[in-house]
Amino acid sequence: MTLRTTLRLLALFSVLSLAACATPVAYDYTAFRRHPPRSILVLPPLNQSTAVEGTYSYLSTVTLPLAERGYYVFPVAVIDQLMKENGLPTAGEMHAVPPAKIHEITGADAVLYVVLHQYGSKYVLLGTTTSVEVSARLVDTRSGEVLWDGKALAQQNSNGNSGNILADMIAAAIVQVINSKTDPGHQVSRLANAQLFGIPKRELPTGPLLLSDHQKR
Amino acid sequence: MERHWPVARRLLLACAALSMGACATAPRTMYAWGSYEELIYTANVKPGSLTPEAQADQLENDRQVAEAAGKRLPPGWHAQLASLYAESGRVDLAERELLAEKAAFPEATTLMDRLLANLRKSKP
Repeated sequence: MTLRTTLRLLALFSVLSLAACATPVAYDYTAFRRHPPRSILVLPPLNQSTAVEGTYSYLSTVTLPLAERGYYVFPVAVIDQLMKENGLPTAGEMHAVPPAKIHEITGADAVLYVVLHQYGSKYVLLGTTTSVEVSARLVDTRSGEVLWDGKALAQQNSNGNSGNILADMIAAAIVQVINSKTDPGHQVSRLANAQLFGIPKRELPTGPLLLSDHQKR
Repeated sequence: MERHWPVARRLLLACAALSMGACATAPRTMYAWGSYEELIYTANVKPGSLTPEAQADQLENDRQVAEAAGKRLPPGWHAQLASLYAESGRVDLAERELLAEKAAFPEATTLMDRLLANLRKSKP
């Protein structure tokens, strides 16, 4: 390796790490600060992908990131079942319930509405790419105001790298927490959530149940 | 030129280490997650592959691990276990878990009271 090559690598690395951490315009948190929620109810996502299993595969990744950010998260499977027993068999019908009604039944401060735009694996020339694309809106159940919204696209190649340094590091950290026997889309959903809730300058603010690191065991 | 490269390489390594340190997240969690989310995945994506009883057993195992580690169980955990017990007809255990959810997280009170009322209605 010559000095020139090394310097080029160094420059490339700086650009990459800047790109990984770079953030766009700051998010407007006015509505969020007006109605900061303690509890969040997540409905099954509206699945616009071609993969039927995406709905529950995604739904079973969303409690951890929200709870670890300091919110009470209603039991997603119990809520799904309750809605179905009350004549709402699909996510589309559940999303159409007025937020005030959800507050009346559950006491939730906010509802998270998720749309799953892409879910699943594609076989391309050099291997498999698994993609999960989501967008989400957090709505105050009392006022109906949108408190926060976000979107994310996470992709992973069959070689295990996403091509994004930040995403790969988050992935490594998550794999340490969750050791799973599920499909790749489920794992990539976790990466999508890490981006969705954690992108700097437009992240979902932390909630009142959050403990500081030294209080954790 | 060639003799400069160890310095440059060291710089490169330091840069890598620094930027990783800045972005890396600690895998420490507030709650003992165990198999809570994975069971929801399995029960819904591969329906019929695990009975409610088997899921409840797994969660009871997780509870022991959490207690041994002195960690809290996540929000919704007791309510999920309650619904598994209700499904297998163990109403008293279901009731105990709904009350535990409410005690651990007062945010759940409205929903738990509703589920408790439904459960008591279903009692023979």
